[in-house]
Amino acid sequence: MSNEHGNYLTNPKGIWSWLTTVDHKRIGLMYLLFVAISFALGGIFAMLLRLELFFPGQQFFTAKEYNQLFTLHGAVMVFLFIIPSIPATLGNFFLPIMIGAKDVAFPKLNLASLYIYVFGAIFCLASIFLGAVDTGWTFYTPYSTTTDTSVVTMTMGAFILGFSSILTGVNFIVTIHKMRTKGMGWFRMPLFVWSLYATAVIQVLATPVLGITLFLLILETTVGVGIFDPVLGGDPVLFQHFFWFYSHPAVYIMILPAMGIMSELVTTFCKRNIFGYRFVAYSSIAIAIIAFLVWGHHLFVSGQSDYAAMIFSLLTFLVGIPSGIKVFNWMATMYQGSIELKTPFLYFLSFIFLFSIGGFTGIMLASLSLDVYFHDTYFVVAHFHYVMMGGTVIAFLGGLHYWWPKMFGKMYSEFWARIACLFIFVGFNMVFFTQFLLGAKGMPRRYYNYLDQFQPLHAFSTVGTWVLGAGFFIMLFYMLHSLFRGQRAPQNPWGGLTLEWQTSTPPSVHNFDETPIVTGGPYDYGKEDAHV
Amino acid sequence: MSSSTEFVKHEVAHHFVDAEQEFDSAKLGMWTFLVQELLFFSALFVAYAIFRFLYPEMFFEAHKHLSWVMGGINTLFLITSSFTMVMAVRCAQTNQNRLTIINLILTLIFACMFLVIKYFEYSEKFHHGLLPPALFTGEGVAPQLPIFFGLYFAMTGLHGLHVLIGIGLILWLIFRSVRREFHADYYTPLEMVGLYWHFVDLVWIFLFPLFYLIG
Amino acid sequence: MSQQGQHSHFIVPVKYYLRTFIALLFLTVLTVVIAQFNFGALNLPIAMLVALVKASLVLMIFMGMRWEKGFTFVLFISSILFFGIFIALIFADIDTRKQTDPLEAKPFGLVSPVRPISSGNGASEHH
Ligand SMILES: [Cu+2]
Repeated sequence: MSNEHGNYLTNPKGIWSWLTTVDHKRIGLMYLLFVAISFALGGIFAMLLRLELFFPGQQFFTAKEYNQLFTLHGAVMVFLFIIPSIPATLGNFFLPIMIGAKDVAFPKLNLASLYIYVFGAIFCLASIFLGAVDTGWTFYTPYSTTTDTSVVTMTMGAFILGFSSILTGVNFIVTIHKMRTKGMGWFRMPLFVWSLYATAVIQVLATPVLGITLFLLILETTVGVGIFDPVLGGDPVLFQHFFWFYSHPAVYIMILPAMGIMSELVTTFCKRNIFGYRFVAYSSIAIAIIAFLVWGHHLFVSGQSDYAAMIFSLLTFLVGIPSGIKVFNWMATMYQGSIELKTPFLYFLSFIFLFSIGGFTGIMLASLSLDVYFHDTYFVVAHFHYVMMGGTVIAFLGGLHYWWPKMFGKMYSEFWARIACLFIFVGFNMVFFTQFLLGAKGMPRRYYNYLDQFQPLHAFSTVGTWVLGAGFFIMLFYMLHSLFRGQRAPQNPWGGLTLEWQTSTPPSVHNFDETPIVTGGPYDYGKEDAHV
Repeated sequence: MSSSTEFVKHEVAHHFVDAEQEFDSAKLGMWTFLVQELLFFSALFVAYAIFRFLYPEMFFEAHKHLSWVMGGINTLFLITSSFTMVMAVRCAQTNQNRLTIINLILTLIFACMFLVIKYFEYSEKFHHGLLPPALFTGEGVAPQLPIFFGLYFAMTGLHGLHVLIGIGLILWLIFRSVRREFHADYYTPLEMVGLYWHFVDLVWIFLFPLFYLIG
Repeated sequence: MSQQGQHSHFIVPVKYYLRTFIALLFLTVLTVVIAQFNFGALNLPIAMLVALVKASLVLMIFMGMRWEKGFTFVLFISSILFFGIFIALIFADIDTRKQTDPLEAKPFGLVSPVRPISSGNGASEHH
């Protein structure tokens, strides 16, 4: 094929051309590499934690080491893996292609985001060797200002990573506004683009507040600001307000792009137009806005006033509406579709199942009386992982399998991919459904030790992590096999209609040989020659 | 008016259709970035509001340690520098390169004056030990006094850092103007730094009454 | 020639800039003068009002928001709105921190069963 010389992977060649590239596709792939390494690292921490918990009493780690491990697991997974996971990898790669652009609006800034990310990651990892942080990934004051661990290094890292995230958000907003090709109206954009837009809005509006919060925390531990210090008349709960003003919306930075991927998967593998395009698009925006109104649900038992707690509880219930709209619309899209149970669609089904559980338990935790009981138990841990791992990670894997052929021009083994999906689904439920039960029985989170009566459930949960780990190990194996020995992928293996499937595989350096002109919606299945 | 042929011609980046799209993108990007900046400062203003609400007398007493004359002069400096900045952009739009450079240099001078005065203010605070809590050695009327100075240094310090970055950017603009890179067809960096500089001014417009003029 | 570049952009007349500049100088003096008088509880709102007018002048004229496209305006306003949400919901907490629902305090007589380990001197001394 003629474009074999011209695709973005091989042209130009050499490691230096990768390190200095401004091509969004290459930057996306480099992000993918770093994000995958972070995920493996955070995963290893998680496995170690679960190993410690196999039996009650001290097994491998002291209480302090255990605290450091769960802090590192949280911080690495949140700041290094899950926030950049979908937007910076798949988003970076496919956003410009999906709107028919040659690149993002600011390619150099995009590369700068990557390097800022690496720079921040170095700080986070350095903190491990400078006395790993033991505060939990939330860095609550006053403990974080009094512990002797390297809180400053870790928060500096998170501060820097925040700027990487902000700059990606700025880039995406401008790209979506200004770089759409001819005919690509707002309501002809694929829903993944809509979700990235909503994500970018949150990244730009919320992340700076995290930045300033961590900046204040660093000041507080060094020269002091006093606003978090009760001795001086400050208020430690204020830190929680500031922290969650970012970190609740951050949860939607994580889940919104995942929802976007779901919309792509359901249309392609059911060969049907999405049910209620505008509702799905607007619900992304609605989630982004409501995200800013609900942070106080993390403070129900931390001394926040009763009235504020009631307001936040009520507002939190509202999140259920747009999330519900999305789930119902995906279900309705499947109705009478010609469903193909390919691996990406298996991940879609897993997502629906797991995210629904995560969402419903979220409603339980949003109700005041229940939260007083469930707060800081394994119930919260399970809920959080059902949304973040059962939601975002599963969607990320679904998206990765969906776009893998396009990104690398190689197919993977469908058989092993399904096996791995099964392992991950079963293993995940073994680990975390158990934790709902543990939480309901009163097992508090963040303890290395527990009462004997919890042992069987804890052991079961730990065995689950082995199944889960095996799933990822299989995935690593067949993905590597695909890269080196995989069959060449056709241009459009799944019969998708969005623009990325209309260009060559892998895409050429400037994405399209001719600038595409769009004449219809993104999912006009059933209409002949609908697109381009 | 001089003809634009003697200026350095600007190449539109490959991924844009035309110069208009490039300019619009840059501008929207800058505005988005400023929105980010606004929320970056917002948490500090929220903290200020909370503690002023909790300890109004302490704030009233504390503000007597600050000189409204110095704050006021600094306000005038920043406003004037904003004016010269906007004139620099306008002169580039009308191809008056010399005037662009002069206005940029004036902006630079006022920005530096701002920092000089800030330096005197800070050193006076250091002298009296009116510092953030961990370093505080001053004599206070209220036990929460260190919080005021914690906030004061956090907010004006961060603002001062923005001024410092602005000075770097203006120097870069002067350098490029001298090379005749800005003219009616291309003045994007001028416009962007201008927006940034006005934003820095904007923040100070609020900081001044909040710290120096507590009635 | 104008086709190729930014020639077509609206160039703001100098008088706008000059008048804005003078107005800003005047308002700065005004706010300092006002601060010398005591209006009691109105001190802060008056100072903020003047600052708001000054900020809008800078925003509208110097930053050119007046001649901007609609979306930039929406963007900026929404960021201020989020700032408003931030401060409003935090004050929903701070302002009502000490209030407990009367129902909770009286008829049920709820008393926390939790006691500090060492009652007496322990709690206040170490931190
Ligand atoms: Cu939340």
